[in-house]
Amino acid sequence: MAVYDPPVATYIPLQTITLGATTSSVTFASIPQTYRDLIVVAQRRTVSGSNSEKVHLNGDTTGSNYSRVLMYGTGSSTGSTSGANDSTAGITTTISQTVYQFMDASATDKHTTFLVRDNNTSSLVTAGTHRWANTDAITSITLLVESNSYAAGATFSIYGIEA
Amino acid sequence: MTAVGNTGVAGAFGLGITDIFDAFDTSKNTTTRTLGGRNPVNNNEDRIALSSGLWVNTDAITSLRLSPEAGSLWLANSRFSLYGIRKGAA
Repeated sequence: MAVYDPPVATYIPLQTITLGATTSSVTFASIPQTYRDLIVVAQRRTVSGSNSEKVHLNGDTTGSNYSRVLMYGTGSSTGSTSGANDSTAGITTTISQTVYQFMDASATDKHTTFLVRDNNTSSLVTAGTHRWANTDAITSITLLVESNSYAAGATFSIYGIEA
Repeated sequence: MTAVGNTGVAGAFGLGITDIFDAFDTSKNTTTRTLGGRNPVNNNEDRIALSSGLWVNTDAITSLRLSPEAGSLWLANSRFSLYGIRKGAA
């Protein structure tokens, strides 16, 4: 029987990006393959208007390669949707926080899946499961807000969970 | 705990995270919270669920068993990981 040996640390901080100016997208590049899961924490807002945030892995910008199932609540209504789509969260002019958890990010035996928990105090709360129909290990993660930009001051952090 | 299991579409595994609270506390029943789902985009099999669970027992947890529905088996390459959060000073 194996003896449980608790890990010293679970989340290993890899990089934090803080925007000094309005920016259309953020990329974590050259992600090492030594982690089992990856966590991305984003705190950001738009300069004006509301749009969807998208996540593209390894530079794959083809939206139909991504699928999702999500549920949401606005405070007055609830809903759920699914299908091929690369949108993950709703971004407004109110700063919001989203946590992405990429499962088996360095594995090549299955499609990449990730959980998303999005919290925006001005509009809605969302939980979603997403899939990238590709078995490649994740080497880069790009976040962008559709037809819009992130305002200065936004922070994006990535953590690794060791294999 | 994180779990990744197959959805029936090649390569499209489901996923989920379960938090088990006060796992070693013997003064209360054990509670859990799970967020998980699957999105094979196939035959209306897409699902997402946020759920809470209760084990009506105050024993500290000493083992966990995850099993699919009766008659099913976890497929190869399914992955299950267990992590602990150290308790702070009293």
